[in-house]
Amino acid sequence: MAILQTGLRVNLRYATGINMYKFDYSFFLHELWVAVTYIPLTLKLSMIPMVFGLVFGTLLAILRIQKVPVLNTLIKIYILIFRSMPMVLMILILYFSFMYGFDTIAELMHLKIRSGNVPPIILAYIILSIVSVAFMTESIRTALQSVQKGQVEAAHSIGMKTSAIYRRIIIPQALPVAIPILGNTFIGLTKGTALVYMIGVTDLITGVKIEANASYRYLEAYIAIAVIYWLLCIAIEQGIRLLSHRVNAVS
Amino acid sequence: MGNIDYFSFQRVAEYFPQLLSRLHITLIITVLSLVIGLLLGTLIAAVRLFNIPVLKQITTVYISFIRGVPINIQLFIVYFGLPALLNPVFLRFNIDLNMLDAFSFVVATYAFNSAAFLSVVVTAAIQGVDKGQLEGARSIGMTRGQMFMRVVFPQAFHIAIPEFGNTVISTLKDTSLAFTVGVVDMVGVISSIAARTRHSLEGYVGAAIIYFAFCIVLEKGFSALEKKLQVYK
Amino acid sequence: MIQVRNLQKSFGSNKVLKGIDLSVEEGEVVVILGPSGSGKTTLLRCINFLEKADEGEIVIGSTQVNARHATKRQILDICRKTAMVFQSFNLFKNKTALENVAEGPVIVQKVEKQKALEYGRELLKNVGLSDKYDAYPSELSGGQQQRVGIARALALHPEVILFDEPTSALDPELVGEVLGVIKKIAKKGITMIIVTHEMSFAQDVANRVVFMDEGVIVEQGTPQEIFLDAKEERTKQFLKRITPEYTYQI
Repeated sequence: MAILQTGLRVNLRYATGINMYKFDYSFFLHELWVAVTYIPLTLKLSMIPMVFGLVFGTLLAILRIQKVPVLNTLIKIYILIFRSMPMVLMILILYFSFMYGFDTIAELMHLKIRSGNVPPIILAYIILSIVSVAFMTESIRTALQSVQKGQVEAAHSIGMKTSAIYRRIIIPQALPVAIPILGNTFIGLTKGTALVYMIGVTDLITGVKIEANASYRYLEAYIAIAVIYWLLCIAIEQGIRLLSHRVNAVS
Repeated sequence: MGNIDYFSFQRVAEYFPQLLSRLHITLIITVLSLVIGLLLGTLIAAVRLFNIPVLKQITTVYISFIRGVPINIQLFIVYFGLPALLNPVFLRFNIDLNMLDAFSFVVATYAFNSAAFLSVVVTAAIQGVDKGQLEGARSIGMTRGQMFMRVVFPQAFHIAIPEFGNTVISTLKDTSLAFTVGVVDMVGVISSIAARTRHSLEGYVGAAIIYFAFCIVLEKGFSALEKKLQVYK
Repeated sequence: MIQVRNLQKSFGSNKVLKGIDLSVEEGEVVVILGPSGSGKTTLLRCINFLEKADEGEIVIGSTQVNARHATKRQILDICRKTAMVFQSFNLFKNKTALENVAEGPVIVQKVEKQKALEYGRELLKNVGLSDKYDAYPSELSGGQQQRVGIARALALHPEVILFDEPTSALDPELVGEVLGVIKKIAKKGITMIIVTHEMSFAQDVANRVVFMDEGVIVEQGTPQEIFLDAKEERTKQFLKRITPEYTYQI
């Protein structure tokens, strides 16, 4: 069963009855260190879906641009749904659908295995990837369509095949436009990893919060979590900026 | 085999009225925080446009923080942090911030959050007004105040509409996390439904449908508004 | 009467105006010629303080301003005694043609709105736009926008109208209609300073031609004197390059 956190029934304020809060710096530093140890996991949670998003997003974006019948409409609906619903609901709905779907199939096939045996982290990767592909498709499509029509027409006029046009003309020209857009999407995905604790993954938030349970020092815990996310996003932003400079210098 | 009962559309329909009965909480949070956020955001934009030293650096850090930290973490920081930070002052006036319920902190969080995003929108919109427009205004002898009211503001307003619309929509979507600090809004009520019926998926699907509908309506509304003002692009 | 004394202006290390002295009588039409980068536009923009000069004095009617010590009040005063017609029109995009023309009188000069609108219609009619009162700038051609720009300037009854290359941004076929309007108002005795590259127009409309190069006034005189009998080598060179036909035609 998912660990759904619905409100903090117990919190420091009522539990201790104190009105003045003394910030515990040494505990904060301790929590910060705990948070640091979860950075690799957080990065994995954002990067694996990112890679999936890049690969399948490019594919779907090209299908969209080439206006492949039926598929184009299906992709449009998929993207519309994911862009118009809160991410947390998408994650929860996908989570329950997977669990229930898994159990249904297992029962039908008379298997002993049940959804409870699937590690939540695997589900997190799958779910975040599905979300990521939706966002990436739109970002990549925007970038690809930023290339001027004349460029494509010129390539056609010298007899290039569509695949060659993508490889040699469109993608190289779309790259400088794509990088900042994809970077923003990547930051969005990284922040989205802060939701996977809801489907039972022991992530940065869970790990840091467990430490605070005994002392109710949640403020220190959440600030530590925030600092790590903040630093991660700043690092990603700087990375994007560097990459942007590189690409712009080349083209 | 007969006991497979994971999902039923009937339950979605059954939960729907219960979700709608809490919809107003979701909407109040969205509207309140956007109004406060717009005021605060305009203030921040002014600091940035007038290049006020120190304050400008503070706003840069503030915007970076809001952008880089997941909204649900911000919720908890405000929920725990605001009383810790301000109670020493408020207690002198016999106000204990700990006594406020989660709703107020949720509104504060989303207001802080949208203020950062809206300040960027406002700044970009004002800077987006063509310089020639200002020269035109000066050439006919307008004062700075007249320039702002008659030329800059109306044009910046138009420039800002699409991005403002995006912020409204993402704030609405973000409210789906208010339940994590215990606000019983549309999403929050699902856990009490689930506790009763042992079925929560239908609740999430129902809430998602309602959010979906609102997002689509808002999106269409903003692009219609933009088109209506298109005449003087 | 307008007087500019020892006007100097630099952008960074680039000295654009190196001490300009110029006086323009009431009702006079002065055309400023010169190669690009000679400082003509900057001179115009310094006169109405769109650029703040580093040094020098500007006198317009009863207002005398030292560029270096200009107060906000004085600058506003100068702005209100001048009007400008821009190369890129700079009409208010959020207002119709008529609103653009009436904006100055209503907001700045506090003329009664109905009166201002009525006068605005008359001015627009004079520049040939009686059917475009309610059109937004985006719905007008460049030539039409520039004619609205001229009407907007006229509406203020300024002591001088500054024209900053009013036809440079126009398609060739639209230049004529704008020059025609300017000629028409020049005959009404309105003081004008015009920066332009249109030589035959300059010859037609100017009472006096000023030739500038590299931030100084090289030579000035009647159109006859400048176009047919320039004294300075730089002027001759410029005229030869810009209008080779002149030397043969006349």
